[in-house]
Amino acid sequence: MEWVVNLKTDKEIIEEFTKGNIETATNEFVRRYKNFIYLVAYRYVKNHDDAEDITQDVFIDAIRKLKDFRQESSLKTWLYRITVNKAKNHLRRKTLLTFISFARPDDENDLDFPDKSQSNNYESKELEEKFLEILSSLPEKQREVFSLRYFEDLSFNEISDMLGTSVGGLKANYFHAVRKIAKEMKKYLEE
Amino acid sequence: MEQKKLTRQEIEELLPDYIFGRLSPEECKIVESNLPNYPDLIAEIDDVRKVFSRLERMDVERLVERKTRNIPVKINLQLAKKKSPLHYFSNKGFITAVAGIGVIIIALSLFFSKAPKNVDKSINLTMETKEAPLISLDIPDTLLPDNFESKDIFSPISNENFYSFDENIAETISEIVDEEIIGMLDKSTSSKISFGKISELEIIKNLDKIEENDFQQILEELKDVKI
Repeated sequence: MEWVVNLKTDKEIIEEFTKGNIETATNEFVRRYKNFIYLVAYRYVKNHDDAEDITQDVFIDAIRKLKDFRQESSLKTWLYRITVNKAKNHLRRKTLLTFISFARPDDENDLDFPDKSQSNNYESKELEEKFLEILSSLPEKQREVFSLRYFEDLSFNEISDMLGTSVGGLKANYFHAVRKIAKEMKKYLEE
Repeated sequence: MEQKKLTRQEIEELLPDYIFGRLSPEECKIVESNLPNYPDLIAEIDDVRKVFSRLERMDVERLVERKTRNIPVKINLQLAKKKSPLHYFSNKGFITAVAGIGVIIIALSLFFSKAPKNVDKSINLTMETKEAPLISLDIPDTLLPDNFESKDIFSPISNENFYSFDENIAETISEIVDEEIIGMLDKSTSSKISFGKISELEIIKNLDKIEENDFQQILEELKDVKI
């Protein structure tokens, strides 16, 4: 009979790594956080290939350092910080390369989700695209707090740890993000 | 019981969570009791609800899952590659280091191959046998006839694995070598070397056939030659 280990908490994942059950711990760790890391990276780099590369880089780095993780913050917060750093470095490097080579930057808003064709109908597909377009056009803090709260359902305290902003500031940013998205979407829907 | 009075900023900060149903029942009551003070916000709440109700069907998690389903496999492959000792040979750093060393070796070999051109060509006539220089047939292009081609010098003879000089060309080379060597010696000694009865052509023709002992003997004899 195949023995399946279902790890429940971040602490258990870290313990598995410490015990040397690398493969089991890696699989659980990646399964749990891949979507979160991918989405964070995607919001910054705005294309699938780069977001995927960054996601892999983050995991490779994190797995290497996980044994030394002090658990002063949650794994999610720690991963978020690594991802944002990597994504920002990636963007800086890309900007520099674009500047040096005078190349045209990649098309932004490459929101090429494969499921578009499987959406219920063309209208909702367009609506999703527009929504993601508006979201990616928001200032970084607003975009991040909105995404982490609306999609990831994180508490303001967790988001505050991740972004290094006060809870009061985050709430204000969240409100402005919601207001802008609603205003732009309304304009779009009325066209 | 009278509810807590909220400032505009306070109620704004609570609004998104109120709209998306993430406030506790107590917090909801506080917001609702304060909303009549801000009628513009009531209109705004309506707009936000209408827009986001249209977006409720959007399942980001499902969309992302499709994009990330291969990531675990890719990460495991990368980790396996890192464990393998061969990883070090495919490592960018290793390749760069090897390429760097290669470039340095090539640069050094080029430098040393050109170095003799800059060296003082005077010959040390008192040198020991062990220091005997190799005789090179590298002849400067400027000293060769205009219509000279390298293939004219070395032409294979039948199936044998050795080469023979064309007599005329060998004679030309002999003259050139004479001019070069004697010219150099002239600079330091102002005299000429005589090879006795053996012609220079013969020496060049048979240079590769001289035995090591004979060669050493020649060098021994040359040691005492006064120029």
